[in-house]
Amino acid sequence: MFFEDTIAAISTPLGIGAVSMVRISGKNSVEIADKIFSGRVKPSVAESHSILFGFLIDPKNSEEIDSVLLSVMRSPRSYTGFDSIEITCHGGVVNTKRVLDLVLSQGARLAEPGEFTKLAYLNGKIDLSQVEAIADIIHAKTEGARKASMSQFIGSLRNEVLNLRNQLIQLCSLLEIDLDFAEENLLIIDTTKINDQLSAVEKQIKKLLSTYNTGHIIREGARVSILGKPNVGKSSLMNALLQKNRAIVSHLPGTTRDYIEETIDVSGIPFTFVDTAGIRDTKDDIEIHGIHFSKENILSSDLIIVMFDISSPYDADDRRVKAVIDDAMLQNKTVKTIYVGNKTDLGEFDRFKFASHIGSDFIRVSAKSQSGIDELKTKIGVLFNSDVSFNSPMISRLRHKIALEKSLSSLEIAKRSLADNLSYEFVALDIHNAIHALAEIVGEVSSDDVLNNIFSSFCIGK
Amino acid sequence: MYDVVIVGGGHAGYEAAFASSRMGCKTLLVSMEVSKIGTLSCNPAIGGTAKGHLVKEIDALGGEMGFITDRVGIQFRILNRSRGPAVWSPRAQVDRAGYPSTTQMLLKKEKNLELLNANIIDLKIDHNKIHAIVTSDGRVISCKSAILTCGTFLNGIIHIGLKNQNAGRYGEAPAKGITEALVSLGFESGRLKTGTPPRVHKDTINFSACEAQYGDATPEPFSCRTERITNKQIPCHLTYTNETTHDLLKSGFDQSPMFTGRIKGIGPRYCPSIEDKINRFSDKDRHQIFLEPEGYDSVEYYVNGFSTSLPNEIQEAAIRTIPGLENVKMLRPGYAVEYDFFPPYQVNLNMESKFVDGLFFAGQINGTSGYEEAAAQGLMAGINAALKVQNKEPFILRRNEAYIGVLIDDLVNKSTLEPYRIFTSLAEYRLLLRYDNADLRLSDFGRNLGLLRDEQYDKYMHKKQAIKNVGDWIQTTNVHPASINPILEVINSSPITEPVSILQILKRPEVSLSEFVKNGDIIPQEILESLNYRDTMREIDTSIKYDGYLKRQNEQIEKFTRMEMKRIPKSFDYSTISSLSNEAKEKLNKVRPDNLGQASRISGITPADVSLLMVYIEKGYRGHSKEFSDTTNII
Repeated sequence: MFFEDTIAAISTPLGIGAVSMVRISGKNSVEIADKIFSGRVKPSVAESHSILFGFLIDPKNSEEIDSVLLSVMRSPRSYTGFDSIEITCHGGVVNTKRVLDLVLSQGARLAEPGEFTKLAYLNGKIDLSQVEAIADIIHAKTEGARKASMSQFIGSLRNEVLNLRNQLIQLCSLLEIDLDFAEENLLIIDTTKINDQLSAVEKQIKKLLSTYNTGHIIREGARVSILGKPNVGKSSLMNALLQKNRAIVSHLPGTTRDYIEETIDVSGIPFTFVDTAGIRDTKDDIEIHGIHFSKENILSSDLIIVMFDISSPYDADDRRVKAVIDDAMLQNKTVKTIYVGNKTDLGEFDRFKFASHIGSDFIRVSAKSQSGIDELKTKIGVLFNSDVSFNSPMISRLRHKIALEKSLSSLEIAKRSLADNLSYEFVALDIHNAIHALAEIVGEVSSDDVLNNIFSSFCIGK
Repeated sequence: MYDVVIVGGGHAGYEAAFASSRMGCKTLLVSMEVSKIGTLSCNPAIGGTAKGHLVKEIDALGGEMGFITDRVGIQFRILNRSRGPAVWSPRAQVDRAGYPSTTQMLLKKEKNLELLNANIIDLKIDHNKIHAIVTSDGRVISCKSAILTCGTFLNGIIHIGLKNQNAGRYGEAPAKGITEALVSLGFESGRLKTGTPPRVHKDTINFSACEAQYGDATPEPFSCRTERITNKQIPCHLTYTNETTHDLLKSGFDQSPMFTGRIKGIGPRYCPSIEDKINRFSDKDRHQIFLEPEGYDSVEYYVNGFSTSLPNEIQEAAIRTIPGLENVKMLRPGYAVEYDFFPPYQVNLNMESKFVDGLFFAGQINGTSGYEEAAAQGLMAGINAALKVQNKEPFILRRNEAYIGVLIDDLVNKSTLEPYRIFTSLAEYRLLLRYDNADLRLSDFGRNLGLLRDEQYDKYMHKKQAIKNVGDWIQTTNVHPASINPILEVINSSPITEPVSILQILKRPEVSLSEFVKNGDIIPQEILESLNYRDTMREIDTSIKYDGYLKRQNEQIEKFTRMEMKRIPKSFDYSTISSLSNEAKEKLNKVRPDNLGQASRISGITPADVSLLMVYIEKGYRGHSKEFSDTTNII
């Protein structure tokens, strides 16, 4: 039986390490532990949340497998809500697998990816937004992403969404009283007030929606394109930022024809830097292709670092670069830009003239001598961190965004109905739709598709 | 041996009797006083917000409440006219004496139906199946199925001040024995309370101090069988309580059976007694009082809004502080009545009890209040008892099909602890459940059940055809600027420059079909006839005007239906799902929902519980787990 099963999996990454952990959950967990564990105290008589030291013995041939620490967590006070056992054994692929095999041989079934979390969800220990948060905590690439996911796990998003939903339910009940008790003249509804309250909820939803870019960036990371004319030092800058020689650097213009990407952590956000082909007038097919890629890359970027060679005059290629940027800014309105003047080590041509040409201040660096790189990193961090508070509710998933947008558009219709002086049952219809959409975020309404989608993003063992 | 016996002759009882006898079952209706069958225990009115919808639905299914009301109505009004069409509701004041006499006259015409004066004190149940009912004089009446519609009579106690007496209605004895018989079988019973206001003498009311409220100029009948209402219409009157009234009433609170704890039953929150209103809404300095005439020849007036169980003297003194009632003569005091009910999780959606085969419950015994709620359940219980006797599938209406469906689904799943009343807000899909389309929604069901007479069915078919005719015409006919612009000009709608379909014109919020009718020359004669057939025009106008809303409502229904389609096997054992909380297991085992949608509506069942069930059941269906399909009978 599905929920009668006791499941087990290795919960630490496979590889060489001092210790590994095998987790067992389900109603037979303790029984299985009893069969394979030999120590001063039997797991079945141990108190919940205690740790036992002992040996794992294969009951078939009494072979001693490993010396381990075994934690007992009894239902319902465990992650899944079922009795759970965690065995901390010595690390290494062979040993850990041996321990898992032993557990499986005693009646546990290998867990499916995300199954522990699925059980926790189905046992009502956590809601959907928290399930996603756990996936994000596991997959967090940076401290910022971890903090944001943790905040979601603790329930900040859930609370915010429930709060919005409650406001709408309150509003709806006012309308319902008016409809059902119209003859009794119980209260007079002020349409302006209803409209204002709808607007207030809309505003809060929009605020939450606005965290998507940041939330998304914290979760997925930001894409940074480095752009400039050939041989301006884009690859050198990338290497300087990454602190390693990732890109091939040469003094020949057009060395980078394809693009190269690499991720680093800047102030808690994973930045993926993309080194692109330099933009210039060229007849080389491969290079033209590369330039085309550069332009496309800009459109999918969150940040563009625009480079100029400050040691030589502003030329036609620079103008071409500037035009590409201006065009990109028009098409991708959320993209941010930082201008960088490179090659300060070769002397500066005319700082003020440059600033007036590009219409912006810029950071002076020398990719070669590494000067100005820290200042650039700080600037990048500030650009993305200014509107980040890891503790306030934030949405990071497309699913949340779509649900919020759905509820927003329902509220817009509701307001229109109100403005058109339609009777309240029409207004209520769309408010109900908005409430429904919000409920989808925390899983109050869910279909199996949504569930399966979410749980499939887990690796085995959680 | 009767096919169906019905115990109780209230609104649930007579609708059940009409339905089962017309479906060909040999039916017996037992009442403690046959001459009281169809009595209006409380106010002399039928219908009202959402209740009017129920009456129209009963009519569309072939029931009688609407038809009787049309015969004895003394004032007809569509409530909520200032709101949208979905929440309009018909209501009628009726002649208190005429209603039961008309009901009894109609009952006596039914061929398969017998009426019996008797007091039922016991039920013969064997192997969880009903076999007979037992009268107080020892007669055992065998039956294949029985419907209990006992209203407020089960161990009824009437309270006036600190005095009380055993009674089901003022001056009528309560029913004893049935509760005890059922409880001994393992049924759970509870106690509810309801109340009624004093009646006053018409000639002692100063109407000039009150505000008259008249019925509609063109009264709209409830029943499709009624062509038009010809009864003379008489007005109701509005007046208000004041601070002096409230002070006087408060002086009697120490003698209130409510506040002194003598009444244990739970009363309805939405229809509170006047003392409750003063207590709970202390910031309101006045409450509305609605004076309802009891009939053409009656000298009684019903003081709606003044339900009370305070002592006689207090009632009388307080009522005389109300403008228009200064010199009023009280003919009968208000009172509170306590009675037994059976929390309705104990019945299935077909109104049959879960524990006893062939035993049905309908009306106040299920914890509802109101004539209309009772009649709707009575009709459904009568239909399903007959279907059961005939070995046919039960007839269940879904929440998206009828208010009746909402009512019964709520009863079974929510099992509220206070008397249940229907509201439009309880119907999630109310935009589609209008009172005027009840015939379109339900006539086919009524016909298939054998309840709808030819005359009524023909009218429905005619209306359907008329709607189709007009619909086709609107979509396929173009109008030219020259013919339509003068009409548009009159109603300040912008003129057209090229020919467009009539549908396009009608989509404008300011244009309705009546504008076309006023200028009949652009409408062909046969279309005009269709348009004028019953409420065809309203149906078309509504469906065009609110098209977007109706579409969104239909989308909601699609989602709803998906969950309703996920059936839970009848024999499903919730206790095997160890991860369900004990509370959830207990509730699910009590209600035994038919599908996941219903499970999600059971109060106390959380979304996580539903997800759990969903995964569990899906797994079973897909046969992922061998053990599962071995141990349960899922196909």
